[in-house]
Amino acid sequence: MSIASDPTVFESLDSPVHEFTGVGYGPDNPAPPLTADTLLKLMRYRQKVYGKPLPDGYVPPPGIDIEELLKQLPPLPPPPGP
Amino acid sequence: MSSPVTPVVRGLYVCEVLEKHPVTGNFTLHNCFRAIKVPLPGTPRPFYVVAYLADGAGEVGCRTEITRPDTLTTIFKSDAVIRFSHPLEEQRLVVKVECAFPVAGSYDIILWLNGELAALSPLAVKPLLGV
Repeated sequence: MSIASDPTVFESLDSPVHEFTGVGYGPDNPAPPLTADTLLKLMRYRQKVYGKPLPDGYVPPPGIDIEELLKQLPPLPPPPGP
Repeated sequence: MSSPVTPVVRGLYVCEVLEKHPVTGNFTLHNCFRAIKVPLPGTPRPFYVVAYLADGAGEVGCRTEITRPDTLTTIFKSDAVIRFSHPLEEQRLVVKVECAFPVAGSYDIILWLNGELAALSPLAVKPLLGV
């Protein structure tokens, strides 16, 4: 059957759509600093998906004790055996 | 009144063009990508982050954020609140991204729901040379 004669009707999802824009940040418009809570959540997720919580050479924002946050991360699983 | 429930993310996509069917309103995502080349520092043409959310209840705070690979600071942020009226309801979140990328590297596109990290998609930004 050719597509032209196919009687199938693909109906609407009928699910709400929310469309937004956002704000870009840069040197002239710096983003609000990371909070320790947000950074910890980010580190947990990064450890799970990237295998390490922080990028190499990462320098934390002033006022955040990165060693304290690292202590709160779950231990890494052991490397796979032979 | 039931207590708010954070929805699950059924998909987090990044695409160049989002086409909405004029009759059904259904989406077609064109040119979904995970890497772009752009003169650095520079601003690529706008693109879209699309998320499908379901199994939520009540008001849900949604933050879409792009973070720099080296400092983890935010280069783009969009905040919104949506409301779920039924747990089986699916909602579509579309964010148009326009921002400058300062350096090359693997950026993170992050979707926060009610303050928790719900989904993350890497976006590799590479220098476009010779332009």
